[in-house]
Amino acid sequence: MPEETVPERGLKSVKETVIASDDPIGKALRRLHDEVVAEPIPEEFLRLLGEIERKLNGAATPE
Amino acid sequence: MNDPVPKTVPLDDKDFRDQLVAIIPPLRAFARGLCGTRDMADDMVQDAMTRAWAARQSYAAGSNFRAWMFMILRNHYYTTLRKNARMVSWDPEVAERVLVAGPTQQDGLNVQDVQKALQKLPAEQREVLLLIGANGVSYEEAADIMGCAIGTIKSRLARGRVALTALIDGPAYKDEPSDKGSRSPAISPTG
Repeated sequence: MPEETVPERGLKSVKETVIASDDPIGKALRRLHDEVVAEPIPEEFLRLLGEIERKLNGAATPE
Repeated sequence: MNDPVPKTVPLDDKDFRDQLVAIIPPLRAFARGLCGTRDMADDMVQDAMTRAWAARQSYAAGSNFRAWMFMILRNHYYTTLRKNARMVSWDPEVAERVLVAGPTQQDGLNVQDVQKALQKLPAEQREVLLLIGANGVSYEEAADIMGCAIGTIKSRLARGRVALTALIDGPAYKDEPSDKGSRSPAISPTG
């Protein structure tokens, strides 16, 4: 299905985090991020997760 | 006894699903910053989740799930951009409706101005600003996600910050004519 790469390897853990906490650009970027993160998860995502859940249950249910 | 050691140990499906749920908000935020519009971003995230679920056996338990998901999302984003060379990632009229309403300038820069300016940057600069500046990932993790050297990340970040500041502060930003071609995001591989 997808032609783009799905990474197979494990990725390194978070170590060095950068951006000055008082940087106006950094502050605005973080607000942008935080506002979206604070939104409720839309219905279509819940439907998608429901499909995954059904597949999980289907796989777990003996015939 | 002599069985080869598997390259990766996949996560249990239930655990994988739980990680997927937890990553939705930051993934949506990253996609929103990349695409500029809510609908397109959410479509991207759902596609990325579907791809991740299909490829869950290739995810190594214990490795960085956030980086793995961000990588899938950005790969999908660039593939979509290339397939739709004329795709416009920023529509001011749509954005006007979908961006967060209400006061967004408690102190410092206006968030909507930043969002608009972000869309005018080359995609590589935009994503590094979003990853490091907004999501708080490290240089190292950003390099993993973007598949490039840490030096490249630092360089793109520095250039992106300068460009973003210039766009926000510059007189050309607010009254810029709409026919300058700047609405199409640059996707040159070098950034």
